[in-house]
Order: sequence, then C-alpha cells, then structure tokens
Amino acid sequence: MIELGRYSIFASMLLCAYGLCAAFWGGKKGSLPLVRSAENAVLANFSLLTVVSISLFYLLLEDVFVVQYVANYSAADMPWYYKFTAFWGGQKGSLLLWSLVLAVFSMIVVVQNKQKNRALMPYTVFNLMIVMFFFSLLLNFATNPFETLDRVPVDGQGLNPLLQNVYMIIHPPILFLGYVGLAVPFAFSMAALMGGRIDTAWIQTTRRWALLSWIFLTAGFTLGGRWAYEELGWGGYWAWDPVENASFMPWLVVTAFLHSIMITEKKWMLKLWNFILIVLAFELSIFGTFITRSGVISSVHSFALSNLGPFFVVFLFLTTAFALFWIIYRSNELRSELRMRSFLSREATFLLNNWLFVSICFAVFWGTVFPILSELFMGEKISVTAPFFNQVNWPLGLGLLILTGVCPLIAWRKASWRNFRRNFLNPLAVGLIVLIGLVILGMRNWIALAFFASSGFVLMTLILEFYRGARARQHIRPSGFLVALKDLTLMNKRRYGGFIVHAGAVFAFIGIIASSFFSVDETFTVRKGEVFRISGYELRFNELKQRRDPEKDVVFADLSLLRGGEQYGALYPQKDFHHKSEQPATEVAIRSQPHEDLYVVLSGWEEDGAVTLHVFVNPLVQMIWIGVGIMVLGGIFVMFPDRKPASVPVARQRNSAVRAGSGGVKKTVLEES
Amino acid sequence: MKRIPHIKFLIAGGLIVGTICFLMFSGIDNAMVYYYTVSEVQSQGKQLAGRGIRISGHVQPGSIEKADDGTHVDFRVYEKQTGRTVLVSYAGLIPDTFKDDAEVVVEGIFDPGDPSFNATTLLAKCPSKYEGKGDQHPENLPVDQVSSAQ
Repeated sequence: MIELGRYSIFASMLLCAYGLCAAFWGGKKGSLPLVRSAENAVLANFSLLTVVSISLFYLLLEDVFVVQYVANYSAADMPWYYKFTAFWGGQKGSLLLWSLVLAVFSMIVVVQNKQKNRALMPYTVFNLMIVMFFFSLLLNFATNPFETLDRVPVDGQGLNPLLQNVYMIIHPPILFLGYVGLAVPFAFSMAALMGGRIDTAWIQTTRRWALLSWIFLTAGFTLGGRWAYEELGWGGYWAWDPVENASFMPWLVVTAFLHSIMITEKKWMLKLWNFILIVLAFELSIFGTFITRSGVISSVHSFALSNLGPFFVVFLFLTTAFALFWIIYRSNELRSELRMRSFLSREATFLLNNWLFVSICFAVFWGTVFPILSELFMGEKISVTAPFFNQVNWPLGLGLLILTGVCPLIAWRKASWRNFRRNFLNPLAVGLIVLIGLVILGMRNWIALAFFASSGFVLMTLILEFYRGARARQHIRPSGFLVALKDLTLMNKRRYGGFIVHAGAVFAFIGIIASSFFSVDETFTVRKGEVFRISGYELRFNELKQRRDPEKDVVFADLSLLRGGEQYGALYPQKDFHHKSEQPATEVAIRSQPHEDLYVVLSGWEEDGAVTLHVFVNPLVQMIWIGVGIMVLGGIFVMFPDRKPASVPVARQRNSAVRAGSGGVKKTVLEES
Repeated sequence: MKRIPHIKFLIAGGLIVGTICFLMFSGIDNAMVYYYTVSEVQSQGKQLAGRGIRISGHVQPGSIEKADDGTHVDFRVYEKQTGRTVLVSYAGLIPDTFKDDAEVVVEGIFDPGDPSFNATTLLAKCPSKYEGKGDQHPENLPVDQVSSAQ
C-alpha cells in the first residue's frame, strides 16, 4: 500500500503536468481532441488521488507504523473513527485532502461542462491543473505522506487529545471544501480573461461554486469556534488567532463577491471588481492553507518552521502576478458603461457593502501579518492582540449590519423620498423602540445599544419584505397568504434565500454582541460541600472523583445546581489524562439554555480535596450557533434552481417587479433602456 | 454621463479609506505586543517600561511555585541558548500543558520596578512530544490558550 500510494501520487503529478499543457495548447490552437484529452487527464487524476487517499486510509486503519505519518498521528488503541480522522490530523494528510477535494471538484466541473461553456473550458482546465500541479509537487517533494521510518515504532503517538472531538472530525474537511471551492470560480474567471470572454457566462457558471464555498467556509469557521468554545476552556469562541483569521478572510471576500456579482448581472457594472475579488478570495484561501499548515505566524509554533514556506510564497506570488497581468491586459474591456448616479441607490450601497467587507478583510490581514511586517521593516517582532481587531472591526461590522437592512430595499439608480418613506419608516421605528426599551431596562453600553437597535431595524425590513412580496403575489394570483409566501420564496430563491441568510446573520450579530459585552466570569476555590453563587446560579461542589476509561484517566468535579437548596441539575467539569499523551485535556461542562450558557472549567485541585473552578455565564451564545445555522440553510436554499413562474405575461411581470421594488426579474433591460 | 458624480464618489471613497486607516492606527497602539527574548528584556530593562511585551522561552524545571488556590503561579522562564532567566508571576487559568521545561509564551505590561514580570497571558506547549522534529510538528494544533484578561 505504501508503494501504491507513492507511485500514484507521482503519476498524478505527471498527469497534471500533461493535463495543463494539453489544455493550454488545446485552448490556444482550438484543438478539440487536445482539450478532450486534458479533460480526460482531470478524470484520470481524480481516480489516482482516490487511490492515494484510500491507501493512506488503509495504512491508518491497519496501524502500519512504519509510515511516519501514521506513527505520528495514529495509535493502535485509538477508536477506528479517530484513526480515520487522523488522515487530516497533520500537515501531510491535510494537503492530500486539499488535493483530493480539488480533484473531485475538477472532475465535477469537467463532467458538468461536457457540452456547456466550451469556449471557457480549455483555460479553466488549464487553471485548475496548475493549482493541482502545485499541490502534487508539494506532496511529492516537500511533504510526502508516505515517507517511511528507518525503525518501526511499536505504537504510534496518537492523535492529539485536543483533536479527539466530534467537531474536529468534521471541521477540517468542511473548511477545506470551502477553501478549495474557491479554486473553481478562480479558474473560470481567469479563463474568461485569457480567452477575452468578458461576459457574465463565467459568473453564472461559478456563482453556485462561490456560494457552495461560502456555505462551507461559514460552517467551517463556526465549527472551529464551537470547538474552541467547548474544548479549550477559556470561555470564548473567537480569539483572532491567525488560524481563525485565515478562514475568516476568504469568507469576507467571497461574501463581497456574492454581492457584487448581483450588481454585475443586473446592471453590468463592477465587472473589474468581480475579478479582483475572486482573485483575492482564491489567494487568501491559499494563504489560509499556508498559515494554517506552516505555522509561519503563530509564535508558539515558531520553533518548528516547516519547509513549505518558500513553495507557498512562490506560488502565491506567481498566481497573483498571473492574475494581475490578465486583469490589466483586459482592463479596457472591463470598464463599466454605466456610472453610479447617487449615494442613495442600491448600486452605491452594494458598493459600500463591498468596501466594508474588503476593509474588514484588510484590517484582519494587517493584524495577522503584522508580526512578519514589523520584523521585516522595523527590525522588531510585534504582534497585535485581540483588542486591535475588536476596535477596528466593530464600527465596520455595525455598518455592514445596517446595510443589510438598507441594501435590498433602496431603489436602483436614485432613491426618492417616497421610496425611503415606504420602505424605511416602520423599520426605523422598530429600531427606535428597541433602543428606548433597552435603555429603560438599564442598558448603558452604547456600542451594544447601537447593534441591538440596528438588529431590530434590519429584522423589521426583512419581515416587511416577505410580507409585501406575499401581498404582491396574492395580487397576481389570488391565494392564501401563507401559500403566496411559500410560492414567492420558492420562485425567487436567490432573493428570499438571501434574506434568510441575512436574518441568520442578524441573529449571529446579536449573539456575538451579547456574549462579548455581557459575559460574567469568576474563579472559585471551594471545598467539599461548599456552595457558591454566580449571576443567579447556586452551585454546590460535592466531590472530586476519578474514573478510568480504556484510553484515559478522568478526574472530574461533581457539582450540583441548586434552587432553594434542591438539586435540579448536575455538572461534571473534567480533565482527561490520555495514556498516550503527557498533556492533560480540559473538558468543559456547559449547561446551555437559549438565553445563556453556564460554563464551568475545572482548573485545578489540591491534595486536601479543594478544587478551583473558573465559571462563566455567557449570554446568548446559542444564538450565534442558531444564527449561523440559519445562514447555512439559507445558503443551501439559494443553491437550488428557481421554479420557473408559470407563464405570467411580460407586462404583468414588469408591473409586479416594479411594485415589489426588487430585482425579481432576470434581466433589468426592462427598467434600463 | 456627467463628470461630477465621479468626483463625488472619489471623495466618498477617500473618506471611507481615511476612516479605516484612522481606526487601524488608533487601534493598534494599545494592542501592540513586542516580542523579546529573555536576554533582551534583561539588557534593555527600563526602556521597555509600560510596553506590552511577549517573552518566549522554557519553564525552568523546579521553579514552578503554585499558590494554594491554583490560579496564581510564579516561575522562571529560561533561555536555552544563554541560560538566562526571568522571574514571571501569573494570575489566571493555568493551561494544562504548563509544566517543567514546557515551551511557554508570556505576555504582559513590563514594569521595571517590579522584580517579577506580571503576565496576563500564559501560553504553553507540551515539552517532549513535538520538539525538534521539524515538519512532524502538528502545525495547526491550537495551543492551549488561556488568558486572564478574558
């Protein structure tokens, strides 16, 4: 199996080299046989990488410890599912996973476009194969997962206990699906530039890919946050750690991209901007893979800089230069024919939304690479800490939140006072009511107040939008309100799915703000039987106990939740001592309720049986997970194709679109002319 | 199409870029943390007063003194190359990985008047398992991160 894996990975590299040449010449000479051959190389490469991956899975499951990777990340007594996930427990396997996902996606692209997009396909295959080739170079020469050891160890070192967790089974692959998904729109966009086909074909083909990638990135970094929250025991879910930022940055840019392509499809503006965004998103996904996998920034990792750095730097540089060359080369064709007319127009607010996303990304990027930059230019290594990120990003985030309400409702071209009154008066009133209500209830934190009031405003705009849309639909085709609501949503999934995503984002915002500003924590050192209180909770420490599981020893504190002296719940914060690893792992006890989480960490104990507990009360954390869940579902909903409206006459279609004040119609030639 | 709107948008864009630059530069001052080695801290002493600094090194074996409540610890960070040490005092949650000879990073505001460095953040990495193995290092393993500022 070792040999099989090794040879297949080498063959895959050669195949990629052939495929990219064939695709390029095929595209240049317009030779269909060559292009077909390149496409077949994509399919063959997919089979090869499947073989490679199965080999590694086999080696992991069969405990073949002569393979260095298996010895490092697996152990004989690990349960089979952790052996399975050890595949992406380290650098080599993760990069193999990256390649595998790319091979699968490329295969899907080829199969989907057997008949379609023939003009774009040669260069698309070329671009995909270049990325593929880069990763197969890494796998062959820099970080081969099939490297063997001279001496066969008796047992492996096992997967790090911190990673033995359900979130870590699914989090890395999901995040990688998100990263790799960006390669497809990138490949198509570059193909559009190389072939000089600057129409919306590439956007329409890759919109779903970008969305798919967005869905996976959203789910991916949220699962990462949830893992940190439950596993690391510091009471929070986001620390602006470089690895977290790495997944956040491409997300920001691809979110901007998903918004800007709407303007291009409807108004034929922002053409150049789309290309810049998708290139940026792709480069950031590579950069993200790089900092996640090379440890170049995080200082604690600095003692083991990996040998991947130069490869990634060169690849990032070359692909960016390549993309910039083509963007500049075609810049004349990328000018918009239409100009913005007013700030108070949908185009302008969309553009502002894009600027905000990109600004947040820039600030996060700046903070993330600051240690490298300061060392290069100031001779001193300086890092920036979480307060920087929070301080820069909250005003930008607030701006985005408000735009979430404004963008979809403001008129194209130039908003009138009538448009304003009609769409924004009620939501503004709701925002004001929320503000006054919270002030009366005693909230004085004005940042939080601004966020909550804006959330009220946005939620009201969303409710109104669904309500009005359904009413308008009832007008066209009389039916019950709920039926109309359902039809409306199903017939225009992009628009209304987008609103569902927005609603989820508002919930997530509320949860983030509440848990950042109103969290309470305290450390208690308590003896057997002692009762302690924190923000309305009464807890009793009963006993420190020990348990022996097959793979670990567990020390846990037995706590009772009391109400009026009666026990109504129990919590068991614990520390695990895995036999394989010297490193104990904290298992937090969390009692989740919709309005707040009670979060207890066992931080230490004394010989006399006293324990030290760090207790947090985090409000509305659940709202973040629910909000993101809604965002992901909304995104999936948008993925489905629209049900075609049953032959409504064009004239009526125009009327209803104007009435709903929306981009409900496919092309806006109607409004434009 | 008139020229004027174009200028209007340029000004607006400039304002936004300006705001963001302002936010970034005003935000960065309080959040900067300088990386120093143990010997740099010792030789520069007073110049570093009031700065947020981050020192990395190893926990000197036998130097850990935990207070009874388990949330306060005094220990020495030593530099492998020079053998120099600095006394660190930390209050907060102690990471699981913190032990003799562990690779640690401490962060805090430097006060030259204090005999020990008061750390508000303590990051630790398990000593024996990964050290000196080059690329076998588990790159994206989140370090057990604890901060009392949280």
